Amino acid sequence: MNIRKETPRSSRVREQAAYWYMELQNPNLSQQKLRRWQQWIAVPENKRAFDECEKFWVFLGAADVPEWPSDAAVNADTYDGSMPLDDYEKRRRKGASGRQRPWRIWAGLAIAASALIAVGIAFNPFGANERRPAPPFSVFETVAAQHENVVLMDGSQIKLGARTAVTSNVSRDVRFIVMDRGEALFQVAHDPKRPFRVLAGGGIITAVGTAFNVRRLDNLVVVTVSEGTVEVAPASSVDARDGSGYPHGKRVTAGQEISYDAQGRMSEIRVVNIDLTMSWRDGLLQYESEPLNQVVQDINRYSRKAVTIADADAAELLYTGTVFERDIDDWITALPEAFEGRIEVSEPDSRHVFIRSKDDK
Amino acid sequence: MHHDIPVTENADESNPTQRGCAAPAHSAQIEQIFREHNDSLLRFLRARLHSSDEAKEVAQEAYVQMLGLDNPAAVNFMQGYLFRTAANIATNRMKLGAARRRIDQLVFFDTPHETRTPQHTLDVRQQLAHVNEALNRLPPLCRRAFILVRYEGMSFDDAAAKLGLHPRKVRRFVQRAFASCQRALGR
Repeated sequence: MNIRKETPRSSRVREQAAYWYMELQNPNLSQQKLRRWQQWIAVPENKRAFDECEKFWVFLGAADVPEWPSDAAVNADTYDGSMPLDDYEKRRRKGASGRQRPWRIWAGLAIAASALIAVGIAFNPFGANERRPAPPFSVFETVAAQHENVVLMDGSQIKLGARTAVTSNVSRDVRFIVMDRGEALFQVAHDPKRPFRVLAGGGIITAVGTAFNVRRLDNLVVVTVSEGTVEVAPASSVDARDGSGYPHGKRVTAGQEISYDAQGRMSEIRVVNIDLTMSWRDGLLQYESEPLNQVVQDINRYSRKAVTIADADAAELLYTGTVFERDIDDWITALPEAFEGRIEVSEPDSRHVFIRSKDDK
Repeated sequence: MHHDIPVTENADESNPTQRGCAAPAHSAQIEQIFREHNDSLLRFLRARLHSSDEAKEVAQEAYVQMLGLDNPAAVNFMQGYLFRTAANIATNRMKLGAARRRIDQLVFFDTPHETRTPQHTLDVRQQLAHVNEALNRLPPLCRRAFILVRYEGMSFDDAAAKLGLHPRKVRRFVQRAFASCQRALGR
């Protein structure tokens, strides 16, 4: 059974890196500890995280000095540093409202699917519709800036991004999902007898027990695998009504990505940074040299305003950076500056934004 | 016989050559130790000094000191000795030149593998806003520890004394606060 670990690898490494960064500053650091650190940092992933700490420590110097807390606040403080702050805050929230963020909870439980669902319901009395397994045939749809979690009959989970629509059909011998638009992360319960298939645009994705992300753009679908292996084939290789058939396509494994167009023409398989792709779950959209056109398609799923790119030159500009879901308006306003005046942004009314390149008037 | 000081960040970076003064057998051994631990020694020193230039200087000084040893001990002992020597030099520097302890702002921008596109400037401003927010969300005691260490430049021990906590606890607070800010930025 393939359930995501409560703490994603990256955040565990981040905590470890921060730990070592502070320990190295201990004047009484023991030789044994020093040696443990050297062993730890011999792993490339750890080394990267540690170097990130160095940069981030400097970066923090540019932040405003936070407010000095009052004595009263300190006296009322219950945090003792024994657990990561994120966990502490979660626990506090849970204590306050009896409810935790469901996506994170289920992720932590490496137990049988049925038990998992039961636990989900018990933890989440107000959000039962998110946790109770969906009927065999269901349609799920999210609106702008909304995320939703879905549990299927077989224990598989779908995290839906904003403005996303999927239809699920779980029967005794097939698990068939049709994805009409948007972005979703699939966490597939292991069941070799019932292939898990996602029909998205021009392609069909088949998984056995695995986790993968599907991002649908206008004429492009991007499949990113975070665990296990999936097989991606042209949609024409299965029956579009129920997903039955014997698709043969490219095998994409954890850490890789493939994309295809409406006709099911496949790209080469690329190695990618999984954290970047999955960051949308945390309200961050991260890009590395992504055409502005594609960035804007994502933005439009989160923004209240409809963003339109008016010309091809602007559409093809490459964007590298992070968009915070909460700050999309700021991001739009700052775009001309980000592209050094090569584009301009106009807002004819409060619902529409146009981006065009400057010399294209 | 010659000994390039093996304290470099990149293999292709050529350092001014400095002649060693120890006996050849020792110095070859010491040189090997330095080459093996060069990366981690520099990281270790940067974590303490927060400056890559000073880290390099201290590492070189440690190298010279060790070349001057009359009786270098066995290789596996030397590794520990190397870090201790370097740590002592670093500590002395910090005591002597508290005024010089200025953070090397270049470190942040000195990212060879990352092209600094204009988008980064935009991000930096947004990121700072998020960091400020995350810092002010820290639990009170944890935030105090973080302010003292990061913004008032106190050592962990001094901050511990001021807050009436064990230094280990202060390190833990600062670690948690630090990781939480990183998390807020999805770093």
